[in-house]
Amino acid sequence: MKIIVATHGELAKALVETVHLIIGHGFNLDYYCLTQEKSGIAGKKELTELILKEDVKDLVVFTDLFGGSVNNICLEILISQQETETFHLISGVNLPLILATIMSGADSIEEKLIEAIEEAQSGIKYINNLVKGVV
Amino acid sequence: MISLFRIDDRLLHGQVAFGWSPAVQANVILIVNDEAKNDKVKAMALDLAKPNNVKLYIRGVKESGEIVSKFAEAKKSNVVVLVRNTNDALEVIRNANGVVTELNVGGLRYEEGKQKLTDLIAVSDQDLDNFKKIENLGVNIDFRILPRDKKQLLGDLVKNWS
Repeated sequence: MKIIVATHGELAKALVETVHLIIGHGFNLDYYCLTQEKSGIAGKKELTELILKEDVKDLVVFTDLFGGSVNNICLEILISQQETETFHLISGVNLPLILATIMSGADSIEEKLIEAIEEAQSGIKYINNLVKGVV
Repeated sequence: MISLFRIDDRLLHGQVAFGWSPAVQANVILIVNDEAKNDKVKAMALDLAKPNNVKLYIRGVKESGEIVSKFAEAKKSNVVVLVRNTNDALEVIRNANGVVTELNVGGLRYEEGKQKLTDLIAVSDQDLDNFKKIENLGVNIDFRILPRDKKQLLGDLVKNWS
């Protein structure tokens, strides 16, 4: 499995650095930053090259924002791909999502991702409401 | 009504979907772009990723002047019109029966041969000529990436603009 984190600005770089800080190295994790001054056309070219050059069995691309240009570009690449060369595209990346995907013990990539998405979503909590029941 | 008419080389993306659309309470987005209209993959991707509760139309440049003038009269529609460059903006505005009075320029990224006005706006002589023609049609042009940004005018960005 290889994971590419692709975002606006420098978020992807910071996320990947933070993943290394928390669980170290020894897994295949890369990032792509679509900075503000890059045109959509340049972004598409670079992302296409980055995604299609990969020859790993399970390629996962995490993007930051559903409806944003990074995800739109990846979605175009996904739709235009042959079924056999496809990759897994997930939007709304956060730190738990990346960590849970890497740490998952599930057998298939689909199971890993479903599990990790659940975990990432359940990590978003309104803490005040938790505190209310306790104090 | 036309809530926003915008030049943005990325067309529909995060700043438009999450910044502008809620700010102008858009319920219709019209993408005017011949390439997007003819590219099924792009059209499919844009339609899948559009904001919730927004109806998306992708139309060609030639036909869009008339479409825009019709949308201007649709009272229940808050329409965001997106074009990729100044040529397309000029053609649509010209053919829209004077209903466009404001043009927002959001992103025209640098390409070789263009003059940089800001980090996100670069123009060719052709662009400047188009802006002049658009202004002469009675349209106010402002440069803003996001709705809360300070409006900049051509006179602020281009020396000796009159």
